Amino acid sequence: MKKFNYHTPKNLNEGYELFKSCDFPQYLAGGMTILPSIKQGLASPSDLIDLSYINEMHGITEHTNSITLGGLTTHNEVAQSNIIINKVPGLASLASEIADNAVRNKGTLGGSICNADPAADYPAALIALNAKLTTNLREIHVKDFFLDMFETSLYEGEILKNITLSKVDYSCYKKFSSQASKYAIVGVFTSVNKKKVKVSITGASNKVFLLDELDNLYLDKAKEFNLDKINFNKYDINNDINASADYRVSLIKSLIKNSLKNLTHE
Amino acid sequence: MNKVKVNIKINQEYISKAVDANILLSDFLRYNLKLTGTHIGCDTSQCGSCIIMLDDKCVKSCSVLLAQCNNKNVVTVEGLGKIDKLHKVQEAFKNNHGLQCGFCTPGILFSALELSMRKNQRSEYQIRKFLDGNFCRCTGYHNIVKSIKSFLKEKDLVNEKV
Ligand SMILES: Cc1cc2nc3c(=O)[nH]c(=O)nc-3n(C[C@H](O)[C@H](O)[C@H](O)COP(=O)(O)OP(=O)(O)OC[C@H]3O[C@@H](n4cnc5c(N)ncnc54)[C@H](O)[C@@H]3O)c2cc1C
Ligand code: FES
Ligand code: FES
Repeated sequence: MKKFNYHTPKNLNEGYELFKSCDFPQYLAGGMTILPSIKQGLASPSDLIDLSYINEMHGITEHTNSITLGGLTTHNEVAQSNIIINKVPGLASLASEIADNAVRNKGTLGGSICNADPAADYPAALIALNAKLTTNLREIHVKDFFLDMFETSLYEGEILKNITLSKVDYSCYKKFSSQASKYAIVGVFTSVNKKKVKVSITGASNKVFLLDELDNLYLDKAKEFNLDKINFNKYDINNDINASADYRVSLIKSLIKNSLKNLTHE
Repeated sequence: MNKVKVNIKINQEYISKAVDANILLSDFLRYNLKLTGTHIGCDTSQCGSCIIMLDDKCVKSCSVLLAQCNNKNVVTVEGLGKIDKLHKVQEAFKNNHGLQCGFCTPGILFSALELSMRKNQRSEYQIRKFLDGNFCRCTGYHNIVKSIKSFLKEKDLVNEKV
């Protein structure tokens, strides 16, 4: 493998200062994206800055109306957390369907979000749960975070510290995944709060998007909504070896119907 | 490239060493320690034949740096059982014909072990889902699932007695 230096900063500031002092540094969280990329020659950092010793990036905390998850929370920690299972079950089930068990033991929420793979699962949850992202420098609302495939609004060296999600009355994630990698061909996250619906979609386009047509509709109206009326052209649905754009649109519609079907009008 | 000081326990033995930052755990196990029971089946972190236990959790040793394992405990297949005294999970695979060429087996044994530590994960469907990420090109999985079922059953019986 290519040569690089390895560092273990103990806090955010030390990590950030190290980053600024190196030639071509990259952060290392779970390593489930960056290490395979280095092995394949797709990335060649001069320095890997391992974030895992930064204590304030670990752990899950519940507040009155929200939940904060450290950037280093692993996929399996999200899937197995009682707070998440009870308060945002859609997120627990999403995390339990990422990749496979061994990847879920290492891969982190922060790493997945910062990597911004257009087929990653978490971005859909973040959008439908109104996430607020806290870095070492500022707070970013999720609607300003994902810019394009593998591109976020983070500055050079900025570290995602934690993610705060709104608690909702109902949440659910349904995905149709690639059998080899488990990445989403289409993933649909639905949240319902005070009877109002939010639906976001990942995997289908260059970046995750909120489905405007259903946004903030009352649940009964959303259920009656004729999805065939939506003009998906404006969402730039991908056409690739995994699925044609038409097939993806059809998946989106059926996954939304499935998600809304079991909800009562309560 | 800097050297990184690592203290690591591998199959009950402590190793303390300054290592190159870019050494993968799998390479260290196979080339430095000659623990070749940990296999390498792909370049894409997908096949699971390199899975070992790191602090009681399955990880893909081909995608972890040795430097990341400071103060951690590693168990490889060599640390599970011996030829004349197999681990219960190995016995279950032997008795149920759970392997053919055996290439995938070390990784699968560790997945079975982690599954056995989870509560309420006992159905055939859950076993099959848990094996996402363990590729086997020989068996068709049927006897692997059978072996794991038999291991879980035995483990439950032992637990009941305690
Ligand atoms: C076989 C396989 C299957 C997979 N399947 C799926 C899937 O089905 N769905 C899915 O969503 N993902 C999937 N993934 C990706 C997986 O979820 C990764 O864990 C995740 O994308 C990256 O998280 P990480 O913690 O491993 O990050 P790393 O690989 O350590 O880092 C990724 C990038 O993010 C940066 N970074 C990491 N953390 C931070 C931070 N806190 N602040 C700033 N920058 C940071 C790093 O510098 C690096 O550039 C799969 C991966 C593999 C290997
Ligand atoms: S060698 Fe294939 S996953 Fe590690
Ligand atoms: S027994 Fe040969 S790959 Fe599984």
